[in-house]
Amino acid sequence: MTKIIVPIGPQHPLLKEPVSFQLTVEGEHVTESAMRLGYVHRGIERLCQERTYVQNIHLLERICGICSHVHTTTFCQGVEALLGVKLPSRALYLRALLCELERIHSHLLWLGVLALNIGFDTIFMYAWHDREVVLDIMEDLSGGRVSHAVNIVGGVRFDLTDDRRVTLLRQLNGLEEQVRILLGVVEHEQTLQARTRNVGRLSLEQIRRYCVVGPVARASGLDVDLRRDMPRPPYDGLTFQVPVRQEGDVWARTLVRMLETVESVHLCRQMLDLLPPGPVSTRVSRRVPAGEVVSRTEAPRGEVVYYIRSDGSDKPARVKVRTPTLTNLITLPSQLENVNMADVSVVLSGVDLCIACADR
Amino acid sequence: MNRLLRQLHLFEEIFSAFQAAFPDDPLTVQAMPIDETFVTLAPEHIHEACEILVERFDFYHLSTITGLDTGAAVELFYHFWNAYGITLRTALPYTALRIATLTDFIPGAAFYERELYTMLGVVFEGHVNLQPLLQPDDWDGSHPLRKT
Amino acid sequence: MGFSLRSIVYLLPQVWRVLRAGPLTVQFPFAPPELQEGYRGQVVVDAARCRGCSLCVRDCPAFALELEREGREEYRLIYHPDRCAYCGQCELSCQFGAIRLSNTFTRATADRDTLTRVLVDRRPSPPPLDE
Ligand code: SF4
Ligand code: SF4
Repeated sequence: MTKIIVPIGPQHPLLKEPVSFQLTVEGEHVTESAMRLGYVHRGIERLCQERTYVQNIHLLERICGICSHVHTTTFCQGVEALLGVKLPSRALYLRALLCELERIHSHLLWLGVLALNIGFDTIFMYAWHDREVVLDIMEDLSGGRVSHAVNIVGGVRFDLTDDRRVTLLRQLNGLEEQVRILLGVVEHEQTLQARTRNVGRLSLEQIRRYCVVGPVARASGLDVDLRRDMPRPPYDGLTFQVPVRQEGDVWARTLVRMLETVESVHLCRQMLDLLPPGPVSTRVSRRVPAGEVVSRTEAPRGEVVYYIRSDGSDKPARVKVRTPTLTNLITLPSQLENVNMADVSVVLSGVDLCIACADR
Repeated sequence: MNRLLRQLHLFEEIFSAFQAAFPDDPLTVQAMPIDETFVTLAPEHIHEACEILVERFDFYHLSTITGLDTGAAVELFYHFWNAYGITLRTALPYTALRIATLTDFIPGAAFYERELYTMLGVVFEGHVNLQPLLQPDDWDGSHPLRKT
Repeated sequence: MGFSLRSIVYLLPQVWRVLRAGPLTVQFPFAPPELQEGYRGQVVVDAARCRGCSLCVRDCPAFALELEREGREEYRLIYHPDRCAYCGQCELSCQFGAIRLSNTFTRATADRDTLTRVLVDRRPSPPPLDE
């Protein structure tokens, strides 16, 4: 059979971000695939070395347009460890609250993208409609829909009044109802299952060898979640489930993400109930003592790792960012092998691509 | 507290395994904040040490490889994770910027090594596809993160 | 068959909910946008409070603020909205409460230079502002 090479990207209607794939197609099946990254490489790691810690928070927030808060959280967590400051627990709770809201927002956005790619526009609209609730909450709390700019070294910049806490709890109840309906759709809807079951399957062995993280790993049976396995306050005082599935296909990833969304709503509620009183930030010095630190957190897409080295000045000597998408991208060639050309978009959305994260 | 004890115990075992494998390497261990331990090794021992970590102690997850130009040498950090973090660090002199690849038993290391190859000019021996990862097609061969 | 019927019935309450909610579109730019109280928009300065300490300039991550100093008390604080990231760091850094982000929103323009604004002018005899 003749082989055709189908180029997808760097500019392509299927993709929201520039990345390029070369798919070798025989008949309807993909036999080989090559990927090219780097079209949105902004050199953020290098830029970090030329800016102060204060400025870097805002720079690192712009690595990702979806999970921006978790990047600043990881960075601040590392710098605070270098400084040796202990945060007021209210600050930690508010930080984690925004992290969980961001997880809900990211997963709902992703569900919409998947639904759009399989041609299920109704769910795309509903998921994004419900996501708007979370975005409104986040905008109200922080002043920005996506770039929240709430983290500072030493705490957070916003606070919750008691009235706001009560209304927030009510908003979360409505949100949970909606998320449960979407979860029901993922579990029972036939068209969605027909398009996503047995597509892009990864075995547990592959997951471990490729060092895959996040929901993709959990959908293949790897029971890992940094919030639980490396408990840092406030997560050590909260109860939550880590959903794990064994199937390893796109459907399992969808289900894991939706179950996680429900768990995140629970976590938000718990944090609002347990929110300790007190200040939301402490004063810290602008100069960070010399040292190095590795900081890890669980982002919506998996583990984020920062390595920060300080030389004692107010600028870091090195900031290394490892985003979860970069690790997960490496599995794409084995996932794309032998899939139908029509399922390529399903596989691509299944890993939750965020090219801006991967390129930095 | 329990977790801390388990961590101490585990790292003692790992350290003695390293000592047995590399008797002539002056290993140093450093406890870092946020549940991390740094172990310094000579570059020629990195590959075997990683193998010990992955196969004997089940540190299957290589988080990333960090490269860093200190101005005197290029330092590499291999961040592993399995409930605790462990980082193997080594320093390569400018005259010999080469080290054995990990992709033969951790295929997930491929992207990190490609990135370091362009950013710092470290050659990973045995890597099957050591191509630029983020650089444009007309990359001139310079290394953005190098100090010199 | 029962399976597929169920998957349709599932969404009926949703259809009802969406129909009842009515359109959610905002009429911007033909009507003012509804922005939250704390929304980070245009940077504004209370010129009377500004002391020209340039703390905001030092911390601005996008280099959107500029302080042109001509003497101890003579300076101009210039703001380039085309560079601004609306992060609010200047508000946090200012020790005198002079600079802040208001929740107003401006429309786009085709010419970058028309955006630049002089926020504080403390030169001995300021020429008339024609910007
Ligand atoms: S909002 Fe941020 S980017 Fe804009 S002027 Fe203030 S500090 Fe600079
Ligand atoms: S606005 Fe505030 S920080 Fe900026 S120069 Fe004036 S007083 Fe200083």
